[in-house]
Amino acid sequence: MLKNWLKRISATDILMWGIGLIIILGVVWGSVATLSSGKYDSAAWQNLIVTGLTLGSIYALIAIGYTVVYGILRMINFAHSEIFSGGPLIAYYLARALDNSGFLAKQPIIGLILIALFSMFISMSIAFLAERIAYRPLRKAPRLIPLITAIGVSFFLLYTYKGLFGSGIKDYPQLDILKGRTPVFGMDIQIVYIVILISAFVLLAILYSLVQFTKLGKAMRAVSEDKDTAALMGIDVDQIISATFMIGGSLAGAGGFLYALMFHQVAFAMGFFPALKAFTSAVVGGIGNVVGAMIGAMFLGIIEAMGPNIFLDGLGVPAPNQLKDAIAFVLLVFILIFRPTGILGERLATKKA
Amino acid sequence: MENEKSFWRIAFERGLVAGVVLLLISLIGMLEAFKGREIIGGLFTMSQVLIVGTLYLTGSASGKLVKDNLRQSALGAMLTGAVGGFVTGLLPIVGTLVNLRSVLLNASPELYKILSFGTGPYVGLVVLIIVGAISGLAGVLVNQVKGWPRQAINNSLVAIIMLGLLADLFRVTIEQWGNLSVILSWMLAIKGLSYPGVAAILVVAFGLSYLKSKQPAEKASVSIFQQKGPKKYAAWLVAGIGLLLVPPILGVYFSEVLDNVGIYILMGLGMNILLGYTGMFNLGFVAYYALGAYTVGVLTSPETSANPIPWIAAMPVALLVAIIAGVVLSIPVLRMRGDYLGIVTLGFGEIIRILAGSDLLKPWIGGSNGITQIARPGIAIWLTKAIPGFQIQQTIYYVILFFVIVGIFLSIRLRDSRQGRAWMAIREDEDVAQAMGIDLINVKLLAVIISSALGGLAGALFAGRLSSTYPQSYTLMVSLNALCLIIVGGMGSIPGVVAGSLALVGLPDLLREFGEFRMLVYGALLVVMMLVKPEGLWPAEAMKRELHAEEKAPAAAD
Repeated sequence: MLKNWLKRISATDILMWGIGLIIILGVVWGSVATLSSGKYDSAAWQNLIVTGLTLGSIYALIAIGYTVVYGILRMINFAHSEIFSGGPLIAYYLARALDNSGFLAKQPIIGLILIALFSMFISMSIAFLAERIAYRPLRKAPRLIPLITAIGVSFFLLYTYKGLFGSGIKDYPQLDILKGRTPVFGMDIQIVYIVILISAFVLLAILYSLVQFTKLGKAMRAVSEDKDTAALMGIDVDQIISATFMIGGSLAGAGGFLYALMFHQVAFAMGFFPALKAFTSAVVGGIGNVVGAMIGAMFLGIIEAMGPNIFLDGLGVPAPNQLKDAIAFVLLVFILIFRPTGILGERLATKKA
Repeated sequence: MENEKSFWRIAFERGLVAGVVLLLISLIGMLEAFKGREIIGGLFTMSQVLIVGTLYLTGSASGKLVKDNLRQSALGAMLTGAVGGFVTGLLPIVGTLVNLRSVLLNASPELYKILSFGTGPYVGLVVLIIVGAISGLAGVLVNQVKGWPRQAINNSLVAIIMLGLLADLFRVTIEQWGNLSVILSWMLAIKGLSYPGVAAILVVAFGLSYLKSKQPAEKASVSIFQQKGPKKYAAWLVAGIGLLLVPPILGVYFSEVLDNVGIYILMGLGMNILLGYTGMFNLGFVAYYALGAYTVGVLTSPETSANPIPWIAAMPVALLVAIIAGVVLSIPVLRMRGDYLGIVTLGFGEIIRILAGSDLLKPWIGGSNGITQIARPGIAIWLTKAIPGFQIQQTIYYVILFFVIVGIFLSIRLRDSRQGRAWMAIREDEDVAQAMGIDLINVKLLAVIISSALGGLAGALFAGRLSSTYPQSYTLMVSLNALCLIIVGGMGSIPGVVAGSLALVGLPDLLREFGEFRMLVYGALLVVMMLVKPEGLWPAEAMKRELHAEEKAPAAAD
């Protein structure tokens, strides 16, 4: 019994579990050290959790784009980061115009909805065009080729934004109604976070019902199951793929708008890290799985908001917030190594598809 | 599908595409950046070449759709060009009516002037339409020319544009020859090429193309380096001496650019073994490069080491560190498929960069201040002292050249070995390769070892060349650069790596205006290459066969 068991373990496994164990020990040790030092009171922890959830809800909106596209095309849409940043970047000019004309001060809610819709529309159009021009001709190509194309699209878009709109940071107008804090369930929470959380959840609920209960959603699920059979059943596969990209794009645009609300500024290169974290969330939740992506995103948001303070600080790392982007990467690598299926996914990372 | 649409509609749509492309390159600032580069002194600037060139190429593409009706094809090309010109010409008109500049940074009056060829916006529209139609027509007419004269026209156009772009550097280089500069200085005007220079290029291009057309076909297709007999050795000898003479003849600036090219050739060779031979995608190649540079930095700089050692002693350690990192980082991910591998390695690259710049490791590797006073290769310093008038950039060229030759030799030998065939078998199909008795893990690990060693070597040379290293140098762009150059050159092709580095690293370094648009053009190049020529410009034989297999045998697919 033990002999068989030992036979199945390779040096690689031992190395991996060793590293995993060290990291888990480090996390536990750091957390215990921080908690026992009493550096942060409960209000600070609550703050961090709310920030994490808010970030997570934005990541969830972006992650949907990765996950639905992967579900259908088995392709990582590398350009999703620029689809995400394009919307708020271009919607900034609408926001500025509305702000300058005084409309935003008079009708803040209508103004915000207008900007959000515009941002969603722009991101959706970029996603549609990218699919139509760059990805569609490559449906049958060997699988590395669409990936390289996607990287090309990503950089092309990124530097097009830079060329067209400049590399400066653009400050989104800040609204009075979003300033300040309000008590919710005994916690003191920033109003803007509540707005972001509610809008993200509404959008995610809409998406979920779209995928589960509409004809389009049914067609999307059918195409992701088997393209050829779906085509035989009378589904226009190209149209469904376009629709998928557009849905993913518009959610990313909404996520971008909420991101701009949270951080008050946009820049041409803002997409890289949020999108990579969203991708990580999609993998954590099991890529191809919509609900998994949402759960993964919340998890990642909280880890990112609390991680630097809870375990890096406790380990005595100087300036732990410098490393918060690295945490997401480490998590991604370890999820892919130990549980490539993610929380709710089927095994895809090593499958040939 | 294209048969369903009428020819005129396609020509019209291509015109719209040309117009949109032109609008894009105007609005991202490319036209304005190139307005000072005169290709032919006083006649043509690079901005005008970009406008006319876009319309010419799309026009000629439209013209090619019709095979045997010259009149229809010419009219179609003119339509394409005119529509393209019309769309472009709208920008200055809209721009003078509305202030576009508050949104689009580059929509300046200066741009409108370039677009309308110096006339006003409304006249400019007419001028652009006419220019478009003429360019399209010219495209069709050149298509009509067959055989060697067409080759000559294309070659001379490319040569004139390239030499014209580099005219300034060309002049600086010639000037250091002293009195000898007379041999070539007549080719240059105050800015750009002179008319006699253009004439000389035309004569040479036509002459060479004519001579080549006289050779028997099978001989012409084999390059002189591959022919048998003493001719081959003579050619290699000349090429070798030519490479050795580059620094004294071309001067400091060119040598510096070539140093950079050499470093990227080494990285490209490493990436080529991973992606081109084994089919393993790696977007974190910069990690090996950074580790190589930092290891050399930490060991040789008096800032970080109590007993600094010379570069040559630190270099093997750097390779070792890069190899160990490569193996340790790769073991967990070797079983993963291409796209996941790409993302995970990208993660590794970013983690290394974030760590290098963080306060956590500051006491050892300098954090965001980097490391300075890194030792340079001793032989380069010795040569600088030994040869009067030589700068360090020129002598380090020889060091880099040596390692590049070693790297190329290694790559060729590995490619042709049993190991190389195993790599390619894995690239084609992992399951089949495994069934054939290839140990996937070992063979993949060997690829990782060789390529990370090449990456580490490139990093060590990089640190030794600049004598300093900063975390900001190790961004995703480096990996992307290496990726792009082997895609453009051709995956799995060694001449492709060299040519790709020269074109994608050397050229942008020489043209300072281009620097800003470098990444944009790379992105566009990746997409266009994948859509049009996925095997690259200098493809390896196997890749070419694989990617065009479907065209030859469509029934055999799936």
